[in-house]
Amino acid sequence: MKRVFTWVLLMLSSTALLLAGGQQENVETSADSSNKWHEAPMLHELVVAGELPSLEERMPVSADIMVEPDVVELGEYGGSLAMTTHDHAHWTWGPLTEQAMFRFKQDGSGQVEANVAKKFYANEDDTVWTIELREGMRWSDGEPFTADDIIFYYDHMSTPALNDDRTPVGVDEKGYHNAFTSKPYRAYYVSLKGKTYWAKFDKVNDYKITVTFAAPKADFPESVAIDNKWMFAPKHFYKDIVARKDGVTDDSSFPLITEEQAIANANRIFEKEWAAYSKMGKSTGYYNWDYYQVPQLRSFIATENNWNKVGEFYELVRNPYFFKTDSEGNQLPYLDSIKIEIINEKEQIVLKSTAGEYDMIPVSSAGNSDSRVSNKEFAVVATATKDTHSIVKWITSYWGTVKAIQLNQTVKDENKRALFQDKRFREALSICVDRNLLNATLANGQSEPSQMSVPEGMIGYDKEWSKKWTAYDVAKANTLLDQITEPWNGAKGTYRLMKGTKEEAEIIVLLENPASEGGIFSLLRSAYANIGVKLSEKLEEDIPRAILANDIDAQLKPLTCITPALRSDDVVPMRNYQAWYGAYGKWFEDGKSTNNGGVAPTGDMLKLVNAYENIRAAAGPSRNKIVSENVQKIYDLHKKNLWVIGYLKPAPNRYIISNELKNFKGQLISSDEYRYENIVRPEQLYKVK
Amino acid sequence: MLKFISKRLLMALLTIWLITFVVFFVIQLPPGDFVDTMVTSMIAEGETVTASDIAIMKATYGMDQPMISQYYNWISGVVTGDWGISLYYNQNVLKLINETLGNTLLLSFITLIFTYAVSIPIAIYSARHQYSLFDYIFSFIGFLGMAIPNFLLAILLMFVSYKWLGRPIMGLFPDGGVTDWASFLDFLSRLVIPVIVIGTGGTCALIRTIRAQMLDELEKPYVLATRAKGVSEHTITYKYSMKSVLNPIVSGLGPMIKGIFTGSTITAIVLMLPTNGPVLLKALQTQDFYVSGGILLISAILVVLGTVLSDILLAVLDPRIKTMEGKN
Repeated sequence: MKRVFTWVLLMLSSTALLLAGGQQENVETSADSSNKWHEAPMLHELVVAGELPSLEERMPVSADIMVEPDVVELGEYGGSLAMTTHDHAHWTWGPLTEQAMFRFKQDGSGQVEANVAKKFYANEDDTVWTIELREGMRWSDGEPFTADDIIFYYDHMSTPALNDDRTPVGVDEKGYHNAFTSKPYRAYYVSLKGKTYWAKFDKVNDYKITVTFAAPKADFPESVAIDNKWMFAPKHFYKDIVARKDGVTDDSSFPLITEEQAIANANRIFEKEWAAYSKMGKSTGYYNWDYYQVPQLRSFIATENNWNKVGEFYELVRNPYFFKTDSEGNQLPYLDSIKIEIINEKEQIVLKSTAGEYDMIPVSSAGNSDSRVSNKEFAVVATATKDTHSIVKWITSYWGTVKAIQLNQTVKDENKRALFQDKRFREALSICVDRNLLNATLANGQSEPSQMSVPEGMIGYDKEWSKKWTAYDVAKANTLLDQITEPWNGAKGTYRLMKGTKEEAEIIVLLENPASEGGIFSLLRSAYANIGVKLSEKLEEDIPRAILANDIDAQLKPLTCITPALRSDDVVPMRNYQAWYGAYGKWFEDGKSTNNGGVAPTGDMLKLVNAYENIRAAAGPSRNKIVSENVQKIYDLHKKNLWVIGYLKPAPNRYIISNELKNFKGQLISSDEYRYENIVRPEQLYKVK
Repeated sequence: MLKFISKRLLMALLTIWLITFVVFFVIQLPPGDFVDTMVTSMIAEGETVTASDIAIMKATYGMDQPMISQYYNWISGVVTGDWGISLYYNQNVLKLINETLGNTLLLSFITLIFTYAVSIPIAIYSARHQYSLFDYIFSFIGFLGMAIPNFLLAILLMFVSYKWLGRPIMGLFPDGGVTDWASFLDFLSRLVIPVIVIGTGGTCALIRTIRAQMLDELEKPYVLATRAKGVSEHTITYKYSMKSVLNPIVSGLGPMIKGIFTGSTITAIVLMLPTNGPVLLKALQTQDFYVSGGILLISAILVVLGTVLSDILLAVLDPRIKTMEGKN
């Protein structure tokens, strides 16, 4: 009787589920590669059914279509790319579909090329840049993409409020207006006589704009490619959820709405309940690609906003209006969709990866990760999937691994600060560690001893630097420390006292993730104890805030940088970001002021800042020379000082890729600047059955 | 009886109110709040956050007010049906909970049925065949189920499913939902692991209680007398002894519901079930108070109501309880 009851209950519940549905059926796609329409069969069916305009109407005029060179080979239509990530992981699926105004070339040269833009060029002194667009290009909802979409984005969404002379209104002043996106971008301002001036965007015609600066801006395209590659937004959509700033000339196509009205509209459109304008703005503006409601230029677009539902598949489908074709004139992307399973638990990710359920499994190279397969589980997954998947290696942009220590050069305690700033102290911490033991115990012998330095395969690699202070020598370390601390008899369980004090030489490391940092911490603690330096730990879930408050001694974290010419916040104190330069970054970020807790750098640290500023200011015919000289200067300063001590060489970035997935090229550089998987050009990935 | 019920309900309301108090303050115990979580992620994404920004955000979300007035705002909202907004999902809390509540209740209900369906027959069998081989085997399995932590059993079974079937069984609904017979069968196969994991936690205790109760009952003089009159064992077991066996089942209803609720939270996280579990975990991690408070409140209410229900049923079943109540 009970069984019958259970059965009936199940039937009822499943019927209810059916009715509550909202689930999508899987669309069958034919693997017809003899494509006579130059578009995906599923789109062609829609065109035939009259539900979608023809391919000509959807693409830019033929002269302006972007033809992508074959990554490896021509592909065919159909299939989905299955992968996984945790909820709210905007930055995992974002780069896969991202279309930058200007993008970095695939060859690792650090040069940019036009992507969404058709072309771009500067006048003689680099003060006026012109950007030309592709005629007839459209947003994913079929609306035209024009110069208005760029100017609207710049004026109303990304720029802070400006005075008449285009200097920014201060954060604390009346009339200040929050940017709709993440932050004001460096790509758009120049410094002149100590003042900041914002660029002016002017529309020449629907497909041409000019960007005018008060001073030469030679690195404008590179800056855009890094800071604000998405320098456009569909005006026809955002005009309802962006509150217009004061002081901007009237625009009849953009009626004024208040912040309250903007929130109300957004809550209606997105079926959300935002309370704060800035939060709504950031969600819908900065992370716009999450939402299916926002028109895109991207290769794949969302179908449902279920990226916060654990266990569901968040699916991005091909954008029918995408502006690129392959070398034979077939509209990209090849794949029907990217299916991302939302999982928050590491064990589930590992188990499902082991079972071969995903086509693309990125392996985290920088130590342990909560949200991806990392080096520890790599062997398990790779072995289990060896018949169906292959390993693709990419070059890492990490200078080292998590087996590293950053000492805060601006630590609050004056005695500690003196110690941390002393090169001999850092050398002692570097040579007192047996890196071979570290490698054997923590990296399964897979790595090798190395210093925190530019990795092999990247421009700037220097063998001498990578081996500096890596020879194991406890006696020498003790000799070095004897010069800068109180005498120490080496008795077990005792520590050196800092010069002229009764305080022990102690470094308190803030640990964010004991599971991944515990091993290296224990080994460092015992190695440092041999030279009388005490290493303690403190659990801190919020390290960025600790850095903001300058409440940090040290952190176990590597540096990553392609080149300081492109992005330098890991290796130059230019914002409040890394533990090793602590409050120096705050000083620079606050316009070289100590009013807000910043500390003014001196000596080599100041030279770093100067070199960075030289790069930023470089212009004219000798620009490339100035840039490369100053990049080298930054590297030399790091080599000389080793503010961040590294112990092991970083592993390459690895992907476990299904053999059915083609065009996933190896030996590319994995980095934020190159947009991670974007550099492989995901719109050209295709599947064979 | 009416007096008994109304007294119980009044007590339940008072208990729930006290629970809301405890829930609110316990959740607020860890340092920081949702704004801090937000600020951390903003800084990590390269934004400039000033102290005044933080103050404005705290004011927007009412986090700058004293604890007691924050509690008052929350509880008065709860009473009027406004359970607040999830700061992490930017959605109405009731709407959010509603999305997973159905699945949670479905799973708990199926598990409850499973628990009773397994434990009652086993307990009766064990009592009637005391110290037989099967009595030992069942007891052994039961104890094992109770001893192994849910999350571990879930991981083990997940791994076993991968080893046997080549695919780890997780989640509740197949991709694309239950749309036809094949996907319904898939759904049933996915139910197996969570039901076993959550169910076995409760079966053992129930088996032992019912078995002991049954053994006591079978020794009583009236059973002996009935047996002497030639009534069959079957009738003795199911007609006479069964009534007293129902007592522990009914009185265990409250704790049972609670067990299934709390047990399923961890299991749901491990098995990726679309229930309240993962939502609650995320809410606690991100200090999304209104969501965690809301879910815990619903759990508390269900437990209290379960207890009230079991009290009332007991009173109906066993007149002695009502009489005792009257005396007190």
